[in-house]
Amino acid sequence: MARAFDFPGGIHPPARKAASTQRPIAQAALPRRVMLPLGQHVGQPAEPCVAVGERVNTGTRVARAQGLISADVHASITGEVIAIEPYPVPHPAGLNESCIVIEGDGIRDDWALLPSLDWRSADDDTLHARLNASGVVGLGGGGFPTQVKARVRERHAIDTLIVNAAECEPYISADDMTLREHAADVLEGAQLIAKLSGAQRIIIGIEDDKPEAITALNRAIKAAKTETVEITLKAFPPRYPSGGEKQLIKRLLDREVPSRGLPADVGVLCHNPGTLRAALQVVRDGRPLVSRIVTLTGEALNRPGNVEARLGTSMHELLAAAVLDEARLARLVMGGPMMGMELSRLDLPLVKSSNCLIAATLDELPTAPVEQPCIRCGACEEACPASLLPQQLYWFAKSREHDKAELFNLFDCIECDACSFVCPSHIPLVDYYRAAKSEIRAHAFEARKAEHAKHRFEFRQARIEREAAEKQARRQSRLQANKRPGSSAAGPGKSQPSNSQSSKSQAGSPQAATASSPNTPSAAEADLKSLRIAQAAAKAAVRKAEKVLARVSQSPGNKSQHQGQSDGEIEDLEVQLATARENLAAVEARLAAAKNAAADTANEAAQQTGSPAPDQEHTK
Amino acid sequence: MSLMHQSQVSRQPTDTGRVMTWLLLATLPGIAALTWHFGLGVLSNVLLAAAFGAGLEALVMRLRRRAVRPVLADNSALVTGVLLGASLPPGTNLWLILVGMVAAIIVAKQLYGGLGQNPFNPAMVGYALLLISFPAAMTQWGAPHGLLGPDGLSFGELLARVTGTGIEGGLAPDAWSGATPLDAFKHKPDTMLASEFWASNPLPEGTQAAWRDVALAWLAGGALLLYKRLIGWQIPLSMLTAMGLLATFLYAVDPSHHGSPAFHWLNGAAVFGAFFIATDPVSAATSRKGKLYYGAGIGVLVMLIRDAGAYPDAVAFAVLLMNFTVPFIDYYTQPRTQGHARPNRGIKVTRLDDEEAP
Repeated sequence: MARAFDFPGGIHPPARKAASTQRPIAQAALPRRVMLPLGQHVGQPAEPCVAVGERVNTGTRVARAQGLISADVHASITGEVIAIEPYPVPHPAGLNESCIVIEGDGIRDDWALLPSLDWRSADDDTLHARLNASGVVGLGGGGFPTQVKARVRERHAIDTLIVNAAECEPYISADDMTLREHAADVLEGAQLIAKLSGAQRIIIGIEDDKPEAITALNRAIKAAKTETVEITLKAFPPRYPSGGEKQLIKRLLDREVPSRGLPADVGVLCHNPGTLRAALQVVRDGRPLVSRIVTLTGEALNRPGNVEARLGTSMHELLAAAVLDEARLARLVMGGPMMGMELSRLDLPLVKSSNCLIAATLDELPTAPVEQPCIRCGACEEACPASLLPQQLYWFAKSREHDKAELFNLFDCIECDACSFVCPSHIPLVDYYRAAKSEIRAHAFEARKAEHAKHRFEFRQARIEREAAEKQARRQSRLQANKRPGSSAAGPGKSQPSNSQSSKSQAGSPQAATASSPNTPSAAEADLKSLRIAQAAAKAAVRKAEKVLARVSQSPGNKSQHQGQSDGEIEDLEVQLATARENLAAVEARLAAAKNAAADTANEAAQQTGSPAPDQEHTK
Repeated sequence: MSLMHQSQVSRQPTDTGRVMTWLLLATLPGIAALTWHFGLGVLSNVLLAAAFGAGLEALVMRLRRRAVRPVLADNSALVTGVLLGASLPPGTNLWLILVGMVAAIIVAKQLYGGLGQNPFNPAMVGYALLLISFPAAMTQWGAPHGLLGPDGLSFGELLARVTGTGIEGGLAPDAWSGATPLDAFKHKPDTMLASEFWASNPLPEGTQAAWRDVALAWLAGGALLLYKRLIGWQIPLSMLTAMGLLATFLYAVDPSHHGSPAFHWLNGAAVFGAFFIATDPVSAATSRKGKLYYGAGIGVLVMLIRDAGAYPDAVAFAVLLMNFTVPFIDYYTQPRTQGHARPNRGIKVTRLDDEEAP
């Protein structure tokens, strides 16, 4: 057991894990009907690839991942697709979401398995392709698609894979039980992911209140053949939120994930044990993610425990199987009591991120007392694992001083709720932070939208200007072609109409240059020179825009960024590039015209020396 | 959405009302010691001020059309009353206490929006107002005749003093009241050395010992607060340390005209202020590092005013002056957030005209 480092703050909520760890993991009864939401993961919802009425086997892909960050959805029972419609899903705001509903007979369970692979010998591309088709996402509650995380090597050098077995939130014991019974699978899954990510060592972080899991892990580590990677187990005393990714990395490696950064930025990849086991099953057994281990607990259940249940099973069915006493049920929580979400109804489907269902009585999780004024006692500051000043953030969030809230690092809040836990005035602090964050995000989104609209307008202006310049150049060349035979009278065409143009800074100088149409060779040369400078500037602008666009479009996997956002960003960059090109075209047209004119004037000057036409300057 | 709360698992008081109740309990040793040495007048101060506190708070709540009961249940008005009452000279007139409490509860606290919103320590606002407006009455501390001693104030005399109905001059102030050691030492003639001064027995017998006992009793109450984790150690420690360092320096330079560190710690409101006044979380600096600066600032100001200012004691002014600096301290003492290379300092304002600038 290695030495553990420390993170600031933290709290010690009652664990209440004993009730659900008395029995081994049970298999939940095969449901007759499952409801599979299309967005069980972070990122874009998947797109259905089956039709209503189609028969599917367990493991058949029913929805395909969309975009860069997304995951497939697979049928979790054998049966017929009976509907693809919005239904209520576990969601903090109680929203509906499109679900694929499959009905079976509760007996038949035909599997559509993929061919088995040996991850030790298979090449990376095969493994990536397999993970892509697996539907595996982070099963600890985050729901981040595993195949995207497995590709982290493309952008970051990873040296350590952390198995996050801390499970610091009260009640939850799914990882604990998984490790007790499937430690070898978890370790093998970890080696698989370590191979893909290039990590040289695996560290398992676990709170030392899980002695059975630690014993099982130690046994598995001894048994595992680990020539390539070094596997260590670090146990540390329980303290919430040591299972937070950033806190765990700090605790195990004493590295700090930079603000708004990813663990990969410090060479670390974190995975939940359940996810690793699922990844291994996908590769070794060819079995896509169709079930998960979920903790069913709370005092309103007479038979709490962990069950392996098919995704999409109705929570009501699962709870009924655990002998739910509905009269005593005061609140149903998905996830833990600190960061989980309270559900308003029982008939919701089990999803990939449902690691725990708490059927709590009123005595267990009582309603929060009335919020009292903040007296700035600082208890929250001592509990904060991110070294923030929650009391100040509360102040700024409540008074909507968003700039100050950001200055006090609001976005470094991991929303662990340790501050609310200790607040003597019972203030739901994190609710305030969430509200402030979403307001700031909405504001930034609006600002970006306005910026994009401005860029589109600029593009339109540039296009009009370019057209005008080309027209002007054509007209001028026509005029010159007309007047070349003989006449020396100054063509009115030279007093150009190009002043009507917008105030583009780039186009400003060439306009002035062309407007003061040259009469003497030296003036013409000066104009040509400034036009050439403008042309160079416009070329540089085009190159710069191209470079930015290339950089952004080649590094699309920025995980923290939402898909939609980065798409809008690329579109906007394309508009900016087009604008720069239009500007360049306009300048080039004008330059060509000016060159023509200069050649012309030179000719004229050669023909009739010393007869200037001074009125030209003033006629316009 | 934390569905669990510390109050379900902890034996620490984790509810604002109970925090304040413990605070009231912690004042008992100090009040008892004061009463023992200075008589019933202390109790009348504390009880009257606390009653006025609760009454005025209820009145304001009625005026603001808010529910009275939950606000009174946080006990903060009682705390303000008890703290102000304990600071006043024993047997202070009813009307003075009322004026002080109006300043504390209505002006300093409720006009700013109630509990949690006041930038200044309410009890000290009340005290400072009284000290400036009624300097004579506020500096007449009774001699330590004791609660039961023959020279102690009888209940009738107390009633007369408190209600102001006593015959004027019937109770000669000189006979009854005296100066505090700080006051006496401050007005020591310049030509007299400290040793000569103390040898001349300038104070009624037992005064020094009485003040020492009171300070130690407050210290006991403060220890309870620390033990129950109702206050942090930062402010008391940094305030008393700053006082001690400055006093040691001055004493080392010229012991004949400056008090020793022990003299400064054990006299006046130093200990009381360090544990009960400066630690008021609402008006104090909020970050842990900020609290150190805040406490040290109070300690330095107390010493400066005691030594060079016009007042013998200075806790009220020092606390109020440092209250002014709290926003500044808070901006400059932010902790380093995890994942940041260094802490943020100060406040950065994006100028609106930056965008429009050419």
